[in-house]
Amino acid sequence: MTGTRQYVVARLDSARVARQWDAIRSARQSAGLRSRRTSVVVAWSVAAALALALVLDLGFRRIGSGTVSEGAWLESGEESAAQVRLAEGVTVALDARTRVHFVRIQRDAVRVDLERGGMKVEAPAAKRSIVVDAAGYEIRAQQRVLVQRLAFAIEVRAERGDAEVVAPEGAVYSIREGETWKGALGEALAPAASSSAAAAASVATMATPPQPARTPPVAAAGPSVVPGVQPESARALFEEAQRARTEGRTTEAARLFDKLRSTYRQDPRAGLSAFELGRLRLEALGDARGAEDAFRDAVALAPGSPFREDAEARLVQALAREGDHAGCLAASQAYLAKYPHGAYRKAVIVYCGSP
Amino acid sequence: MNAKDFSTVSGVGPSDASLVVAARAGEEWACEALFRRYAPLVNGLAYRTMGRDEDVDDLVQDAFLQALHGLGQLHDPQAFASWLSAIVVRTAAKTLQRRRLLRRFGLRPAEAPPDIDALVGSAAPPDVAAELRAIYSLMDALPVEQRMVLVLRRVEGLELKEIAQAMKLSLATVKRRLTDAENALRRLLQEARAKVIGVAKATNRRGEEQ
Repeated sequence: MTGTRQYVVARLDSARVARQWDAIRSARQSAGLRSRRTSVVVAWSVAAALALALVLDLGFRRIGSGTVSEGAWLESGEESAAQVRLAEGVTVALDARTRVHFVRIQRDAVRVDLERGGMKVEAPAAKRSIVVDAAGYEIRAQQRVLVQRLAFAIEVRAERGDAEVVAPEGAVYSIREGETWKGALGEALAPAASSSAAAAASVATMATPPQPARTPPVAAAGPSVVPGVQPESARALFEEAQRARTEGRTTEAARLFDKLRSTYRQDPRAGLSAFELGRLRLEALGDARGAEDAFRDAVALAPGSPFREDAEARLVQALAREGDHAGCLAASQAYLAKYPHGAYRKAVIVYCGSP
Repeated sequence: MNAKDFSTVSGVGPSDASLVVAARAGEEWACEALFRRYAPLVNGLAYRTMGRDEDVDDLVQDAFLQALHGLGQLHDPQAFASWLSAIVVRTAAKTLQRRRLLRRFGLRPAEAPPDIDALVGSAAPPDVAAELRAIYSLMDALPVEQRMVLVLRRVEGLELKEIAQAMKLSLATVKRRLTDAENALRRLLQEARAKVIGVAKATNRRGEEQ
């Protein structure tokens, strides 16, 4: 039987598809905390047990009766999520590989510093102020908010109640209930790049504090575009490269990232592209030498970026794969000196092995 | 379901089976690639079964979450499309049933009727448009089971066996539900046709008078 479905067609554009995928991905990450098929009681028990075991294991402050107090740090495991209940019924659920610092836990206000990973904070009533600090962004919510620090972006989803994001340069973004907002953890804008270019890329670019000379804040960059910079072309290239990566066309993705970083070196995406290129070369293409070159370039292109630490750790890994033991040790020591409490401190030691 | 309806359109890129295998191994890019590949199919199916654009996003999300969560239960990775479509159909039916139950207990307000003008494309021939209008204006009045069978048969164009498979029903049950739904639909169509004929006659009369 022939149907008539060709006459009943859903309105579907790329923005809607992207929005749907964002929602699915967020929900999957949340579902990692509590399986949809598991009863709520069992999930809470398991999460509490995991959190307790994890905290004890890692030497962080002990969680008493499923609660944490002000000033405590909490870190989830490599594979396991964790969930804790603060005073006054506020629940904080951490994804795997997440570290947070509970800066303030008061009756009417909770402030959490998300150092890495992803988390969901939920308050039983809308009267409370929830603030999550992540990579220089300040996320303010009232009921339920999901914040993720991804490799190159920060993602905020207002699951219940509205939320607000204050970017490092002071811009304020309103997020209505059910909406997802994403801001790039990109490298700082070079003076040549324009704020309109950043807007065109639909991301809020973060100004990075430690490098004022090379990385002025976005607001200071002004609306002008220096001749020779073609942000739209770089943007198209970046999007195409991301699409290729998503579709599993790794070689093509690497070629495009490489083209972007070498052609548009002043573009805000150049550093990200170099970093992505390094990862692809290292993990998918087996080109450790090329990866080393890309990671060095990522650091050079975006010295103040939030992913600098990742790039430097990856550089150690690339050198280890190359068999450059001396280089690996030097890079490893440089990493440890710069990031004594870094997320990869154990990994970089392991990469180089014994001296 | 028709395999051709759900095959990769471009033929470029990894096969469904390889994406499913990669997604099972926890590769996020493969999950996303599967979603992007089948987003049009799932959105379309969700829209036609629910009849309202505002219901589509939730259904798409629920269906994909179930699918990605349950990939381990898919025996034939290359059959991902038909497996996913069945999930959409069953999720839609469950959603509608739950809503109806909530309304019955006064826990959910009655929904506005579907926007049939928005639903039925302007390219539809008059007879098809009349049938679609009849189906969608009748849908909310039908029991959910009949409604689903009717849409899958009349709009999606599925065979009875395919409907039975997707909804996990026996063939006899599908036939029975379809008969009941079509009887109701027939009455509505007759009324709609009578109106069309009436309008046509009136138009002709006006033409002759002029």
